[in-house]
Amino acid sequence: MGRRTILKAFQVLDDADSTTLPEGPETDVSGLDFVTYTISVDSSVSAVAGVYVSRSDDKDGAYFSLDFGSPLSLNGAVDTDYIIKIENHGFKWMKINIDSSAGTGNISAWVSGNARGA
Amino acid sequence: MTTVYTYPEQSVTANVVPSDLQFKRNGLSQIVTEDTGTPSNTRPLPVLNYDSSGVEIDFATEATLQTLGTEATLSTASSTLTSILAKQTYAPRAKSRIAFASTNVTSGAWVELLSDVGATAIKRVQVFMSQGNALELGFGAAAAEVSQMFIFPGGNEVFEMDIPAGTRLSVRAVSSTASTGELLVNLLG
Repeated sequence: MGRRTILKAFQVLDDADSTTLPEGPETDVSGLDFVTYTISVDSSVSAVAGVYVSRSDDKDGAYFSLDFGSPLSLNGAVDTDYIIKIENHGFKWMKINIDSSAGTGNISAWVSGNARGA
Repeated sequence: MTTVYTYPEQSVTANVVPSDLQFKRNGLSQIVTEDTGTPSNTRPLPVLNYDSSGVEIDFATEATLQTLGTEATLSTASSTLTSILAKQTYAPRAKSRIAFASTNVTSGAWVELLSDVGATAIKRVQVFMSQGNALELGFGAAAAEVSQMFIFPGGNEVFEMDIPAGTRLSVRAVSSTASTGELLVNLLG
C-alpha cells in the first residue's frame, strides 16, 4: 500500500520569457493518486506544455510524455489560467516542461497532489 | 474561464435535451409557442426583416410592396388571368360571304370582304372556302391593304387571331382566280 500523503503546492516554473523553453524540476509523486499542475500565463504567451513521467525509482531514470489526447496548449489570448489534472497510474516521478513556444511572456506553474483518503 | 486538461483523457457521455426557445416579451421570459387549438395563445418568435443595407423593411407600406415588385407582379398576373379568361368565350361579332361565281377574286385587285369588323376586337375566326385556289387575307383601307395570312384551298378552319376593332378585311387570289364556290367567314370576339 502506497504512502498516504499530500503534496503541498509549490512552484515548479517561474519563467520571465517563455521562449527559453523552461523545464520544471522532477517531482516525487509516488504514493499520490492525483497530481495537479496549476499554470498562470501572460496574455502574450503562446506555448505548448508537456508532462513527463517515470516509473523508475531513480529520479534520473527514463521519462516519457503523457498523452492527453490533445496538445497542452497555453494560449494567453484564450485563457490565462490552466489546470492539468493527472491520475497517477503508478508514476513515481513527474515534471512539466515547455515543449514549444511561439510567444513571449511569463509562465508560472505550481504542482500539488493528493492521495485517496488523505 | 480556466482551461482544464485531464489525464487520462476523460470520456464524457451526455444526454442533451433541447430546451424550449425563449425570448423576452414585454421584459418577461416567454417560451415560443404555437397553439393550433387556441391560435390566440400562439407566441411566435419576433422576426425583423432587413434589406441588404441593413435597413429594416416595413412590409406594411405600399411603397415597400412596390419596391419589392409584389404589387407589380400581382397586377401582371391579374392582367394575364383576365386575358386568359376573356379568351374562353366569344360572341359572334360579324360575318361575311363571297360567292365567287358572281364576284371573281383575282390576284390583282383586293376584294372587300367586310368594310368593318365592328366596335369589338376580334379574337377568333372561322373560315370555310369551297374552291381550290388559295387566297390571302388583308387588313386595311382600300388601296392600303396589307396581306396578313393565307386562306387555304378548301379550308375549313377555326383559329385564334387578334383583329383590331374597326378593321376592314379584304381578300385576293394568290395566283389563280377564284370563280367558283364560296368563302364564308365568321368573326368572334
